[in-house]
Amino acid sequence: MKRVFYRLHRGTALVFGLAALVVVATGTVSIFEHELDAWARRGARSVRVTSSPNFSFDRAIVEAAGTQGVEYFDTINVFQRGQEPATVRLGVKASKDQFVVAQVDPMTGRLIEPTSEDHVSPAGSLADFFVSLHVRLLVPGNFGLLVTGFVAFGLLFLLATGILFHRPSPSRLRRFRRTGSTRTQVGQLHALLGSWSLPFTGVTAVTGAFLSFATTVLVPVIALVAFGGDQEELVKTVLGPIEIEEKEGIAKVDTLVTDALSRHPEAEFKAVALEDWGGPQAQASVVLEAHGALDHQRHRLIYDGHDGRFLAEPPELGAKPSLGNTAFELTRGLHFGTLFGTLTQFLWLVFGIATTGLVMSGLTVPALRDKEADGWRRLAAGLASGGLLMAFAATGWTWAVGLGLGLNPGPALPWAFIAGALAGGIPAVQRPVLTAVKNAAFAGGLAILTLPLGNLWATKTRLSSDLSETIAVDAGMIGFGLLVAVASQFFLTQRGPRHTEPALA
Amino acid sequence: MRQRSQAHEETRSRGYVAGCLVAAFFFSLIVVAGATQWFPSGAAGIDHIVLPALSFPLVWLGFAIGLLAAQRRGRAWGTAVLIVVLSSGAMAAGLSGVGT
Repeated sequence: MKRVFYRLHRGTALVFGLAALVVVATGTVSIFEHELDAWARRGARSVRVTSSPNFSFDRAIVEAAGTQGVEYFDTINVFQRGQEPATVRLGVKASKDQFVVAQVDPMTGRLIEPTSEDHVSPAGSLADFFVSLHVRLLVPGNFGLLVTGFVAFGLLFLLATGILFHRPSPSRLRRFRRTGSTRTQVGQLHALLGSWSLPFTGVTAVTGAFLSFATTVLVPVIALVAFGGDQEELVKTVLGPIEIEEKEGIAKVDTLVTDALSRHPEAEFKAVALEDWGGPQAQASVVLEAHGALDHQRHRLIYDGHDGRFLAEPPELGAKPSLGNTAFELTRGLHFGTLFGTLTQFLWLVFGIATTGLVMSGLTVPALRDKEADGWRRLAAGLASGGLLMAFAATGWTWAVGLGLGLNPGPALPWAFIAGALAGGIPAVQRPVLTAVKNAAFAGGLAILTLPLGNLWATKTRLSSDLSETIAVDAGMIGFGLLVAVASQFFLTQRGPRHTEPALA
Repeated sequence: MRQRSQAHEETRSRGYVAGCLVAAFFFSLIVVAGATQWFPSGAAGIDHIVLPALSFPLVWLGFAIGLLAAQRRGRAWGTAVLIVVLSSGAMAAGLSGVGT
């Protein structure tokens, strides 16, 4: 039976391994999306919509609606992602043509032209690229979510079969012998990292699969069975319906956002969603978030859309506390690493690196077995190790050079990632795998180590008063790059005979 | 001749693994959709929707490992099909509006 699990584990790794590696590695970087975004601007923060004297939610909606006017919209969303301008999205179900997306400069309160929903500023394109790669693997729309959902299933299956044939035990948490061939040592590293990162990998794979499949598969299927196919009714039930009295008038959005912030002064504005705006059931939901060192709070405040009266502050899901809501909040907190604020973010970074090392070492072991190491296995090992590091380095440097030259580097980043991966991975097909990985890891490490210089040049050493996040990310890159460059020279050296250990240790 | 039979066996085995994984996906969707009909809805009236949906990845894993690792394949498939038939019954009740 152990042999069956081993073969299932190895076969699944061949199909899903590289995609899982990219999802895990970019997910690890995405934990610090906001910090990376702040680093990309060297701390020069854009104005928050709620602190700008020139920004008005009501005026932004009127300007976005343009000649259509704001008499009626089924949904209106206004939100501000990180350091980007505010986005206003207005929709009317009956007419697809009346779906409008506009971006508003928080500083001036005026529309930015030209614009689209997925418009990201050149500086913000680096963090946005890693998040998009993690969520959709460069595949557009809902199909991308399906792909990452299946990758999460692949990772989950790898984990389950790995447990069944490795049989983790407390002794495995410290088992690492410095003797034996390189393949044996990489294999031991794989088992060691797998044992330490087991709960993290399992939790992120389960929660990630749910998040990917929720809107693409689960909502349509559950709506079909329980709500006669009406997905809106399902969403309304899950969010918890709030009764609104029918009356005249349209509330001022500025007033209710100010009221929400006064109820939670420690929190920041995230988004406001207006439903049936101008209609009999008009209501507004204001979402605020407070991120601390040890906790993360999210608040949803509901207002009457006619007179702006505060109605309720229900949980994230449902009108009152429930097991379903607790489980959902736990799922989200665990996946995004916000469960206990900054503390879990750092823990997730460490475990994320461990899981990346787990997948990396798992894909490298087969290439170190001479008898089985065909060209594809060697390429997979090269792409998974040196290739991944080169991909990150090439993406970072392409972003820096593009920004420094005054271009928008966003469209070039996917190509830079692929080119970096191939440049680091292909040499492993022709040369001894370890030598190729050692060279690519050294080059990738050096490129990451020097990336803060590229950032300084690209942002023209523009400095702001708040440099804490920038310095932290600079230090992280220098430390990580140095570690990789030095470790590649010391540890990636062929040791011992290659066939001293059986396939299953 | 022996090599050809080994290769044939490997292809069959890969096909069986892929079949089990795909079947597990559809089985788990049916179980989750069916569970929305019998799972308690809780105080806020959402538990019957949210909790089965959240457990979808684990239900899939349970089916996948159960079908692939079973010593007696017939019994494993029989149990899986029984669960799916029961869930389909609950699903059909939901689709036809029984109990709503």
